Amino acid sequence: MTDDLDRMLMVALEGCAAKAPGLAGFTDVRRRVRRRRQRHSALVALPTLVGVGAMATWTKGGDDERVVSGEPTTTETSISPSNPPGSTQGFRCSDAGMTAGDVGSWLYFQGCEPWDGHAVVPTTSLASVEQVPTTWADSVMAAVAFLNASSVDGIATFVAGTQFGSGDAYSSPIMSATSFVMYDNPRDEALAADVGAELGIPVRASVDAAYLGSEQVIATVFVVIGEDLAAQLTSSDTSGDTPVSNPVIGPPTRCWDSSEIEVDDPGYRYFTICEPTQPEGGVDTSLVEPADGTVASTVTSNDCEQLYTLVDGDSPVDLAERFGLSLSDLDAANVDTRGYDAFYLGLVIVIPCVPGA
Amino acid sequence: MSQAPIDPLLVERAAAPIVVVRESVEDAYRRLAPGLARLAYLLVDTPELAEEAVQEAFAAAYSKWSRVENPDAYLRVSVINWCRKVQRRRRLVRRTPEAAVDTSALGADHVADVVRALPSPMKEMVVLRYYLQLSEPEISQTLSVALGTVKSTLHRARAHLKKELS
Repeated sequence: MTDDLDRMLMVALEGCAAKAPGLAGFTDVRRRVRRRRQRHSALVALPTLVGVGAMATWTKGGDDERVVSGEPTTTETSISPSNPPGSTQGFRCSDAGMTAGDVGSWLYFQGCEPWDGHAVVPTTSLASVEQVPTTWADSVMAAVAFLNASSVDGIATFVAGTQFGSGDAYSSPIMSATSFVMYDNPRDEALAADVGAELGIPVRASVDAAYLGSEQVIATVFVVIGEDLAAQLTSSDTSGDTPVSNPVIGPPTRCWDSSEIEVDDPGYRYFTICEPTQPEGGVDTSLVEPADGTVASTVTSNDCEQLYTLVDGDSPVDLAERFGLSLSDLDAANVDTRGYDAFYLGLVIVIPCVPGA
Repeated sequence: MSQAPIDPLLVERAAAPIVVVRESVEDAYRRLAPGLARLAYLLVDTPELAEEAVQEAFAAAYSKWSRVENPDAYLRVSVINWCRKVQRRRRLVRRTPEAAVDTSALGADHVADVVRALPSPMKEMVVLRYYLQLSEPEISQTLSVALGTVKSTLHRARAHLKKELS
């Protein structure tokens, strides 16, 4: 029976395939290529608007980054300051039912743009870091993508991103309270975990597990930057004649020091430079990492308030109990803390004064 | 001081001129597109989507053509990915109504309908196995899944198809 079934399948599929449509000529492919390039050109213009800055440099597969001194320089950029928020340059996707937020960005990206179409974002060198293109040891076409999205009226409107590939060097956007890592292949779970751990952002279930239930062909780790970019850019575009003012979006939820962090993957390095910004409310965000790495800062406008960085195992109830607070006190103190509802590892929250203290 | 023996194959290779004649995208399109369209048609349910899958695969490959080492395999995977993306998008964006299936074209082909209804990646594996007649290791390589997974998935697919088609 199995042989019969095999034979039947072969014959039936062959017969069905024979009904496949005749294809148009190569002209249609060229038209698609042009459309892709137009989309890509527009994408390159977006990062400034949504806050992609020179905050981190990721390279893989080589040891040829080296620290040098000097001012930030932009090696490749095409930033248009005249592209206003709400522009509909092919980036609205409301008809696909996309919603705001990280997942919405992901959906938007998947639904509206082939991700391999997002090849380049401005790669701005950081001060003290010289980018040197590296070569991937792996044969995958792409392995890491950074996305950045913003929303208007609940609809993801902008998305920009880049992917790692052979010979490329990249700058990543600033992390935000709603950033997360999403990996696209079970075999990348460890890499995603490394990225998430180093950036202090949560790792979401793989795309496979969430949506497909199967393995993907191309290995991908997505670092999705949410709509609430939570840091003022510290590096402005220096490439063009026209200075571009980076938008001030809000206080950072966390700054990373500028030291080089090694993760397990050989040759995989991470650099960040983050100048603390002064958020509203008088909180001094001079983040001071204590020895145990848990309390981010104890310096605030109010003597007894403190900032606390969530670590593994923290929960609102536990923290409230530990600091002698009620849960509602803790919640009330963090009404304005972006990402508080998610309560994820690395999030900086406010610990209010103990009532009566 | 002893010297390592010289591998004659290395000598032969070193002496032979390396001539790489790269096929243009357009030539590759002429050669591969019809077959890829047939493959796509088995994975998606409309001729329009099948055609789009092939053209998108070539459009995506166009800009990186010089870096594509094995166009046949690369484009095949691109087409499969594109077809998967279409299916994924349909699942994700449930508010978007399903594209109408051309029942006049498919009604007579019950087997293909049953195969198309298989979940991913079972469907892709069945098509690669029984249409392209790839071996299990080749399927494993194409879809980047373990050989054991291919074997077990195909086994389950056969059992399912046997039940559905009996």
